[in-house]
Amino acid sequence: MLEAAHLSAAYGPVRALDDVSLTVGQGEVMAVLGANGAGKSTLLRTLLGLMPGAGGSVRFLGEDITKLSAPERVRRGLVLVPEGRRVLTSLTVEENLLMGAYTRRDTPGQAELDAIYDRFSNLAARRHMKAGVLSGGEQQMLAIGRAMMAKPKLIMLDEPSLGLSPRLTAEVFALIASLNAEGMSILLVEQNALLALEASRQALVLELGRAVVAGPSAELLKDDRVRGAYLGAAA
Amino acid sequence: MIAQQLVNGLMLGAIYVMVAVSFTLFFGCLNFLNFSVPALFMLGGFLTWALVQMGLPWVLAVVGALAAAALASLVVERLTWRIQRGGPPLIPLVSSLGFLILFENLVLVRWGSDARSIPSPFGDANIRIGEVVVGIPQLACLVVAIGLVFGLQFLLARSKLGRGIRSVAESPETAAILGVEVNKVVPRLFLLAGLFCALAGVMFSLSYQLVSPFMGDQVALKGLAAMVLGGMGNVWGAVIGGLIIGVVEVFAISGLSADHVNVVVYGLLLAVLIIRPTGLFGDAALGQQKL
Ligand SMILES: Nc1ncnc2c1ncn2[C@@H]1O[C@H](COP(=O)(O)OP(=O)(O)OP(=O)(O)O)[C@@H](O)[C@H]1O
Ligand SMILES: [Mg+2]
Repeated sequence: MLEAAHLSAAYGPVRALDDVSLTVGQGEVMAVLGANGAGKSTLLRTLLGLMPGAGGSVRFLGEDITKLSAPERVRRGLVLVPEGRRVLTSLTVEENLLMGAYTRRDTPGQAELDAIYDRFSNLAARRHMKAGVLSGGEQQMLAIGRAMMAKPKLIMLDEPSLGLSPRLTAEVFALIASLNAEGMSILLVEQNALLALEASRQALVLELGRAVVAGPSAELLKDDRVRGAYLGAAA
Repeated sequence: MIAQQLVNGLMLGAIYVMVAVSFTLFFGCLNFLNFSVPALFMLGGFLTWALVQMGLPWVLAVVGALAAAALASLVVERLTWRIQRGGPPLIPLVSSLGFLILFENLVLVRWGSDARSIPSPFGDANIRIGEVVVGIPQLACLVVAIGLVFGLQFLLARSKLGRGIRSVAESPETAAILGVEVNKVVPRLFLLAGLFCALAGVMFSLSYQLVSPFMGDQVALKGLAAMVLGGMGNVWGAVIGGLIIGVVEVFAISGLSADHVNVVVYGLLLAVLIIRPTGLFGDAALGQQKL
């Protein structure tokens, strides 16, 4: 459902992404691994259409979206949960959720908000509080709930477990599994390679902006290079 | 006569409120001290006179003047903010100062520097409440100003555009990730804030019946002072600040003399800022997320 070919992107003179291609199938979870600075976030920003001057092409749901702006891509259901959650701290929890629906032409109803609150009970009690007072875990849930308000077809998650306790990390991964079980396609960037490989079907490893390994996650779990570099095992 | 002075002060303050709110929208949302505000104020007031002069009925003249000021505000957005955003914040500030001088001098070249008197469509109609005389145009200004500020607050707090504006105010990057077209939201903000101060210019000219190419300078400086006094970037702070400055100004004129006005007004401003550097209703994080 998402096919990207020969993507490249740069920050001024700094090349951050170099000829990366990937395909995410309908209802599939794909993981993107890589060290700090490998270009993972840049890849997601490029897919969303936020990198000026990016090269390559992107197809989504059978349509060429290479030339579409980020709002148009979001409206078609390609949605990003950014690194560091990026909730709008001066807006309330509910306003953050409504901002998730910003590109939609219809107005989200109370039933939709209630569905999010059912899933994230911590948010329900805090719906009229400023999002800045939420804990890190709650902010992550809000960022995911906000993305869901866009009626996404594919959610891109950039390091959703960053800074979370093992228990909350497990919760986030359980959420990813349940979203996927409901049919959501997911592109998951993670530092926690083991969890990400276990949660995904396909995976891609970036190094210095290039895709160095790609394939089924089960095979990457056994790959010596991947084990050595990302799973903390001796190669 | 204290009641009379108080009423006069509040009505003058209404003009400062509108200008201060305009500054506050630019500053609170975009962290942009937009010095073209005095020119937009002047365009509202002066072009109303010019169009009446050309024989337009005054309602059309007001609409035309507001439209011209709105257009000017969009030009400032396109040529300062959009091009220079992300760089040092002083650059759009200085550019907007350039636009202030440009707009004022274009008007000067076309119509000369004289102050012109503009006939008020309301004449000098007034109502009396006991001893207190209230001019109808001034009263209308006060009512309209307060009404518009409530309307603005409602828009910012409740509407989709308001949420979009506040998102851009907090973080343009995050807003873009959510699919907010920053380049569509920001011009709307320029339009809104530009109309606010242009309307203040119209109100000023219809209440005080005098326009000139530089009429915006003194008024906008007090509007700026009102914003700082209230606490930068806070709309209600701007309202209170504007009313306080209007009242203090009127009492200074009647109690001391016209020459003392600026000493008293700006002396008060400095005194408040020495005691409370963030203004009456401001808090520490200047210019951020304060709507
Ligand atoms: N705004 C920016 N301006 C300039 N260079 C940037 C910018 N953002 C990222 N880079 C550079 O681009 C490269 C890729 O960065 P990116 O954020 O995509 O990496 P990442 O894989 O997401 O890293 P991390 O795991 O730390 O989040 C890095 O070398 C980084 O220094
Ligand atoms: Mg990253």
